[in-house]
Amino acid sequence: MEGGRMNSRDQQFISFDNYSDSSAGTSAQMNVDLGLPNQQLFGHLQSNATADGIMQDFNEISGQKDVPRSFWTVEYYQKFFNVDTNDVLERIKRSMIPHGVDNYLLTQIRQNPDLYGPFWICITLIFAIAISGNLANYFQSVNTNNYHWKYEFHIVSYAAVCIFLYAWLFPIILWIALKWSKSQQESLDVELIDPNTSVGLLELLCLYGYSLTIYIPVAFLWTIQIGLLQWSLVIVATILSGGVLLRSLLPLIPGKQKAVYTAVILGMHLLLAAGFMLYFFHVPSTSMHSDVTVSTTIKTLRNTKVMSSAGYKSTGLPIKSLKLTA
Amino acid sequence: MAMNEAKLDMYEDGLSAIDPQHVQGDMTIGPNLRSQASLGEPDFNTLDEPIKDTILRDVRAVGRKFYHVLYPKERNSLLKEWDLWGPLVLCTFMAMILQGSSDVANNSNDGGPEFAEVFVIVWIGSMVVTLNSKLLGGKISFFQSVCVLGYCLLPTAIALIICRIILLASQTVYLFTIRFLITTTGLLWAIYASTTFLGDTQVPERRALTVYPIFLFYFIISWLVISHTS
Repeated sequence: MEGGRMNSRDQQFISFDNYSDSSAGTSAQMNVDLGLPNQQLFGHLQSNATADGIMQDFNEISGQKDVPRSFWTVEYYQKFFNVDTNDVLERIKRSMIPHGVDNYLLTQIRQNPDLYGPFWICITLIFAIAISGNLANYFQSVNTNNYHWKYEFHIVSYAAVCIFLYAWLFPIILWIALKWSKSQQESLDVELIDPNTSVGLLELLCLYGYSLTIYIPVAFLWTIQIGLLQWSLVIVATILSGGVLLRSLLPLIPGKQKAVYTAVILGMHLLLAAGFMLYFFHVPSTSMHSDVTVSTTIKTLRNTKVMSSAGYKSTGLPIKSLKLTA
Repeated sequence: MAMNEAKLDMYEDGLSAIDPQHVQGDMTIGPNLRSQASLGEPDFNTLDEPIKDTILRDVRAVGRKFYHVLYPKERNSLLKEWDLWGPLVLCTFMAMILQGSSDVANNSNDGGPEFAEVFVIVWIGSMVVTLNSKLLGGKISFFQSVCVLGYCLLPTAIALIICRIILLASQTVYLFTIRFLITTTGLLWAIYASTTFLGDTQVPERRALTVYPIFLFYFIISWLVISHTS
C-alpha cells in the first residue's frame, strides 16, 4: 500500500519539486485532492506548501483538524472507514446496476475508498453461502425419506478461504500486474497528462469488495434446486457485477493488454460464481463420477440399509467397502 | 459496617450532594466503590470482609447486568462498569452445548462447530464488531463494548436452552416452527438490547453502519442455535 502511494507520487508529482519528505506516505492522496476538492481523506499534509490552500479549505469544510497519526493507533485506520450509511448504500447499489456512462471507480470510489464495505460484504457473503448452502443441502436431502439431515458448519471455513482469496489477494495480484504492464509501456508523458490512468491498491480492494455484493442475494436464490435457474443466476450475476468491474477498470488498462485483462477479470469472476454454485448448491447428476456423487450414493445406500433392516446399527463397514469399489 | 460508616465520613465533603442512604446502599453492592478505587482511592472497605461477601458482590453485579439485558431500560446500566465474567460464562455454556461431536469413526459427526470455534466466533466476533464501531468513530471504550455484546448473548443463550429441551422430543415440523420462533425472538431481543446500550455512541449518519455488524453477529449465533439438532 505504502509502495503504491510512493509509486503514484513518482508518476504524478514530477512537476512538484517542493514537497517535503515528511509527507511521503500521503502525498499520493493529494493528487486526488487536487482534482476533487470535497476529498475527505487527509494525512499530514500541513507541511506541504502546495497543498496549504486546499488544506485550509478542507479544514473549514469539515471543521476538524488533521494530526499525524501513528500506524499503530486506531485513528490511523479511521480514514479507511470514513463513510456514512448513504455512501455505502449508494456504492452497493451502483456496484450491481451499471449506471449510465459513469465510471463506477471514478465517480463513486476514487474520492474516498473505504474498507468498511469490502470487509463486511465479505463476512456477510461467507455466512450467506454457509447458511444457504446448508439450506440447499437440506432441500436436496428432504426428498430422501428417513435420512437424518445434519448441518455442516465447516462450509464457513471453505467459503471464507475462497472469498478472502478472491476479494483481497486477487486485487493485490491485479494491482501488481497493472503496475508491471504500465512500467513495460514506459509512456510517462501520457500519464502526466491523464492522472486517471493509474489505480491505487485501496481503490482496487474497495472495487472488488463491493463487486461481491450481488452474490449475497444470489446465494439465497441458489437454494432453489432448478439447474437452469442456478446457471442463469450465475450468468446474470457475473454479467452485472463483472460488467461494472470491467467498465471501471478498462480505461485504466494500457491499450495492448486490454483483451488479456478483460479475459482474466471476467474469467475469475465467472469462475468464482460457478465455483460457489457447483460446490455449495448444485445437485450433482448421477452420471458424473465424482467424489460428490460417491458420497451421495453412500448416503442413499445407507438410507436404504437403515430402512430395510431396522436393527442395523453400524454403518461404518459397508461404506468403507463401497469407497474402495467406487 | 463500621468501615462503611468510616468511609462515608471520609467522602462526606466530596459527595455531600448525594443522599447518604443511597451511597451506603451502592457501596455494599459494588460498582460505585470500585469506580472510586480505580481512581486511586484506598479500597479499604473490602479488607476485613469475609471472602464470601467479596465473591457474592461480584456475582450480584453480574446478575444485575443480566437483569438489565433482559429488561433493557436504563441506557447506561451496562456501560458504567464493564466486566467479562458474564460473557465468559455465557460463551462457555453455549460452546459446550453447541459443539458437535467430532467422532468421525462411527458416523455420529453432526457437522456442528467445535468448542473452540464457537469460542472464537463469540470473542473475535465481538472484538471485530467493537473495532468496527471504533473505526467508524464511536465514542466507547473497547472493553465496554465487548462487555455489552457479550452480556447481550443472554437472550440467544436462553433460546438455546429452550431449543435443547424441545429437541428431547421427536422432531416434527411443528416443533421446528416453535424452535424457529424462539430463536428469532432471542435474536431480536439481543439486537434490541445491544442497540439500546450501544446505539447512541455513534453519530446518526453512521448508526446503521454500526448496527449492521451487531445484527450479523447475533444472526450468526442464532443460526448456530437453530441449526443445532443433536
